[in-house]
Amino acid sequence: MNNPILEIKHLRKTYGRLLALEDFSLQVNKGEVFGILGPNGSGKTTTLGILLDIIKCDSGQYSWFGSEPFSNQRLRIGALLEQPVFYPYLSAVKNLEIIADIKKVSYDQIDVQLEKVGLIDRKHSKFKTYSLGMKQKLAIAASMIGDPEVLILDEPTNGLDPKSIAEIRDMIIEIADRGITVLLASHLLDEVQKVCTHVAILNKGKLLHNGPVDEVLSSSAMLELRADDMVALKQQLQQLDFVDEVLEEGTIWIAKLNEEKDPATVSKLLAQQGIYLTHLAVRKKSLEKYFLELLSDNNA
Amino acid sequence: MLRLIKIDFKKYANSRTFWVLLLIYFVLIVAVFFFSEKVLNLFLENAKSTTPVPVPNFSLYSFPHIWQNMAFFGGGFKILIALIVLIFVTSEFSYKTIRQNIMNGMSREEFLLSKVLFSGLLSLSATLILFFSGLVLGFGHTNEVSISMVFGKIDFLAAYFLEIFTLSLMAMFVGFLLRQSGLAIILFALYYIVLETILAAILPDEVSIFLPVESMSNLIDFPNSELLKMFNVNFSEVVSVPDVFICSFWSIFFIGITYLLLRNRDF
Repeated sequence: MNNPILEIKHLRKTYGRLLALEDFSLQVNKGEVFGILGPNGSGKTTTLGILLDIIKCDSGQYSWFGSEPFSNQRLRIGALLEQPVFYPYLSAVKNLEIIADIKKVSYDQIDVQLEKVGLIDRKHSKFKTYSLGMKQKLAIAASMIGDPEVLILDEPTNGLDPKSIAEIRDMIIEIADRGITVLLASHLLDEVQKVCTHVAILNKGKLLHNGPVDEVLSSSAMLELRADDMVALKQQLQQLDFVDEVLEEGTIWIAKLNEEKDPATVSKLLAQQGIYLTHLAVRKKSLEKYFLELLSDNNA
Repeated sequence: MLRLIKIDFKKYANSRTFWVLLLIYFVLIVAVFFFSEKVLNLFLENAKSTTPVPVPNFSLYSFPHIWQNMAFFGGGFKILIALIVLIFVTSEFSYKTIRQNIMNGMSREEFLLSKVLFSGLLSLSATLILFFSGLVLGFGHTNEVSISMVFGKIDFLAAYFLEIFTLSLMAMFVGFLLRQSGLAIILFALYYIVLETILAAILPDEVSIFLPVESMSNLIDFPNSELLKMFNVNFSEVVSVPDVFICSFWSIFFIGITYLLLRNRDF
């Protein structure tokens, strides 16, 4: 099951006196869609830059595909970092031909990839004549040249209109469905929540949390409960050791749990005490709440 | 290596700036080759009328001396080739394409090599322009031609290549160092035209011959014409071997120091 594509150990990077990344360790396995979430300036791009050898780290190691990094490995990685970068005076096709030459692959895929992102009609137009959305789509097409095993995307929907955002997210999901490992940096929680299977939360160069998105979501689960006898229900809930707190919200109780519990177990325990629930639901905290909570804890 | 040449050729083949600069160089250099004798003859006519000494007639374009003559006059225009290198190295930074190229899988060494090859091919093209211009002019101006005459001083072509290549590599280094085209062009031109001249004046001769631009221009000495011999001035009629070594050293130095510069830099 665990098939590490990428292992990062204790990366550290400073820019002058600014600490950009500190003791950053992470493992990404094959097939995962791994989100790196953090506010602007938290070290996301620095991390990805180090992994792509455009930034040199001060200390620490990383390995791609289980071996020491060297340039040929990047031929197996597609990448899009920050804004799309191409030769402005060259057409889309010429730009992609340069990338195909760098990646040592044939030009056959160029039209296929341009078709996928809907730029085939404009393939001979110069890059500088493209709109921002088109540039971003061309960058996605470019990152797919050479059938990469890993795709690295940094803020892929930055500055796009809602329609383009939706299109690019669909593209990422489609790419992930084909089994390509994706590393996605974003400051948009919603984006990570919609697209990723795993998430690492980064703030001020420090890794705050890392794990499957589902786990992050359920680890702070709350239960919504209602019974005919609300007072007795509250008393019983307060006696359960996995319940931290019981809050009132309208006509229901909200039980904050300190560990993950199967709702069936809770229901059974309560039934043993003679309380039959008329309403029981797991309320998942949105990643956003969790994210903000983590950040405020970290800042405090 | 072919892959790197192919990649760089794609970058430039569709750039108007590249072709315009190359065309300017081509027109200028060909004009210099084809009209230098006419200009020189004007001076000679003038000299003949004012000096009692009989001035012998000679042609710049006769084999085998043509190679040294042309290489000497053409060498002054190597700065244009160096500027093309400088502009295209810095453009990789201003477009951020160096970052993208490395991300896409080029190693830093490969990127450097691609620019060294680019400089080499440009210098080679300049040398070929000299070669073909020389053939046309030489055959047109030499009465009796033999193979040994045509290729007699052909080693000046190699020196001409080394002269241009060394300056191009210096420009490449400045481009990688400063990354910004405007700044790089100004500082490079400042060093080339002013700074080294001052250095050469201050430093003793035994030291100044080792300066890069100095050694490049010392490679090919002033053509030694019959006229000058009359005045007992003797310039070297062969390629200066010590300067071949000094220029080669600078070429390797510029490549090496650029490598060190690139090895640990963040993009």
